[in-house]
Amino acid sequence: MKPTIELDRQKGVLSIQIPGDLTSTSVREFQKEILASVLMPAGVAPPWQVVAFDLSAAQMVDSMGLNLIVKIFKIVRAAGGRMQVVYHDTNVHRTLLFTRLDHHVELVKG
Amino acid sequence: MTTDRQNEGSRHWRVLVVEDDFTSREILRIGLEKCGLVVVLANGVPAAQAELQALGFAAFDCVVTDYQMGVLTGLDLLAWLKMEGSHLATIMLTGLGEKTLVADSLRGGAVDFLDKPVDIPKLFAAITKAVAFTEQARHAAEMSSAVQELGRTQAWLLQSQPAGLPVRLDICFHPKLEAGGDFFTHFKPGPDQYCCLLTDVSGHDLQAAYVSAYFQGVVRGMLRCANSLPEVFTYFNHLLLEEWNHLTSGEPGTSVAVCALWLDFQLQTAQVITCGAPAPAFVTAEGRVQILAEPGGVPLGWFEDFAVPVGKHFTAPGGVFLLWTDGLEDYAEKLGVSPLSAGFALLEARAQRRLPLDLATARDDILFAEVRQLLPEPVGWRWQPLVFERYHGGQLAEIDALAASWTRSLQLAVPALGGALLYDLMLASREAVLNALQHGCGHDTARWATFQISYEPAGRRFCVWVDDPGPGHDFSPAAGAATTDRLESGHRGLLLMRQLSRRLTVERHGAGVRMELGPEPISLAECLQTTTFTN
Repeated sequence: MKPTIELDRQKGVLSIQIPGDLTSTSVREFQKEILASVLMPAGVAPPWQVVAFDLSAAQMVDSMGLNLIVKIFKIVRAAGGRMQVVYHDTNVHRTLLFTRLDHHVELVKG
Repeated sequence: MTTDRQNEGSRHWRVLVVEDDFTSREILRIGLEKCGLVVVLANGVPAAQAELQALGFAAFDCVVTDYQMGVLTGLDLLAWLKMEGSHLATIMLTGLGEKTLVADSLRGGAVDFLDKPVDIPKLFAAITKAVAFTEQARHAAEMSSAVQELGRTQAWLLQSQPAGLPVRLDICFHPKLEAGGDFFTHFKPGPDQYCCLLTDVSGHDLQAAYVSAYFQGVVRGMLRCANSLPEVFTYFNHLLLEEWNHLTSGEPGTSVAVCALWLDFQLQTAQVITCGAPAPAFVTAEGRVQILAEPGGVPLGWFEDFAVPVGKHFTAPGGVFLLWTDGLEDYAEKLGVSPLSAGFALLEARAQRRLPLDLATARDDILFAEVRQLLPEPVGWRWQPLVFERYHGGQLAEIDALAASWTRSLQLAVPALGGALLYDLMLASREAVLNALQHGCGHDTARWATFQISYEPAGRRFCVWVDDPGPGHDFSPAAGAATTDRLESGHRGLLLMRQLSRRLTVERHGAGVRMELGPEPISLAECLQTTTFTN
């Protein structure tokens, strides 16, 4: 299973859809691909203003998953964009709140 | 034709002939009486039932019945005999055009069928076979009843508690058949001493049950004569090899796996000897699990040069010993759970008088015993270990499979567990194990971490212990603050462990971690209250 990454140029939204849990195992599998999708060469403005990180299919997010979210957030913030994290599972939501990621990214119920 | 000699053995056979036609009935009676049989006549199914009820099934050796007899047929009689559990073999007589009844008759339990008009010599031959069938069925039923009685006796013996000693025993025993070769016995070898033995004899048959009972008797007798446990085991090993197993040439022979526990309450010591049985566990008064012997000892009956392994001898005030046979490990493996959770689930199911999950498919006898020391005074709560595992540093990539087995173990042992508390338990455990394997063991396959989840039923609380051989981890609030406030990576796993636990205790600079969760999951307000860091 691979993440689905889509760019809506008209709306300026980069959507990254995670196919299941975001844990140490899956992060190792697709971290590189996800980071490559948000990283821009120096001096190049990103074609998005918003990155929507979709965790609707996830039932667990562990520390490695949270670290990946933070990494993406830092890239997005540096590029002047904003980040949304879409969740569906209440436990995933709790984890995001417990680690106070809601202070940095917008949490959206999916 | 039958000869007098052939008829000799059949003289006392009593046959119930069921036929509604007077002439046919009389022909059968005369013919069969000439063959030396005692014939009882019935003119239909109700009359046959009345005869059988009046005289008893045991008074007859077989039944010969016509099929077509008015409202109730021979098949109805067959069904009734089966329902009553009579074991009486039945021969069905069918007329022309009733051939299709044969299959139904055989399915219904008839052992033979004959066309009418009946040839008496053929009928006598069929009766001879039917009587043999009845005898076999009755013998099998008697054997089954005897085995069930043996099983009941085994179960009854397992209920006894050690008298006059500060020990409480809890056992569940599920033989694969009615009785089995797994057995547990205990006794008081001396003042302030308690000894228990868990044995697993190869096989699941009556012989295994017999050898098991014999072994228990030998142990008791020899201990009473002041022999030591190693002496007893050496003697029984010799007995199996020299006196029994050579008699069964071509057969694998009998072996006995045994685990012995000897408690001395005056000296406050415990000695454990394990020969081929799974290593028992000791749960300290604080709830920590220690495995008491390395696996690999051989069962009695394998080798002549058998040396009794030196028993683990240690001071053990308080605490609980858990002993089990390999049938429990097999059952647990089949369910994909920890043996400790399976053992706990079996004890719980027994206490609640219900059948545990999938027990009918178990491939071996299962025995799980909990020997609880009541001295010193038991603490107010008890931690029941549900998972105890050792993982090496190379198992990091297996974390999903490991976590799935913890979930199954917890859900088997505590079916009501779910939702946020289960999630928190799994997430905190996962973080702790990942941390231990990655940093504590450094991915090294030669370095091992231990992982334990325990449950306290009264308070519905869970405790997770993780120990690794590394230098430790930084659980300080400052590290947590860096993670949350300044979004620094590296401590997020440790932070989650702090946040999800109601109580977190670290030892050896964090190389040993104890997390307590439940009975309710941590709420957001509680979490923020306990993990708000200030710079």
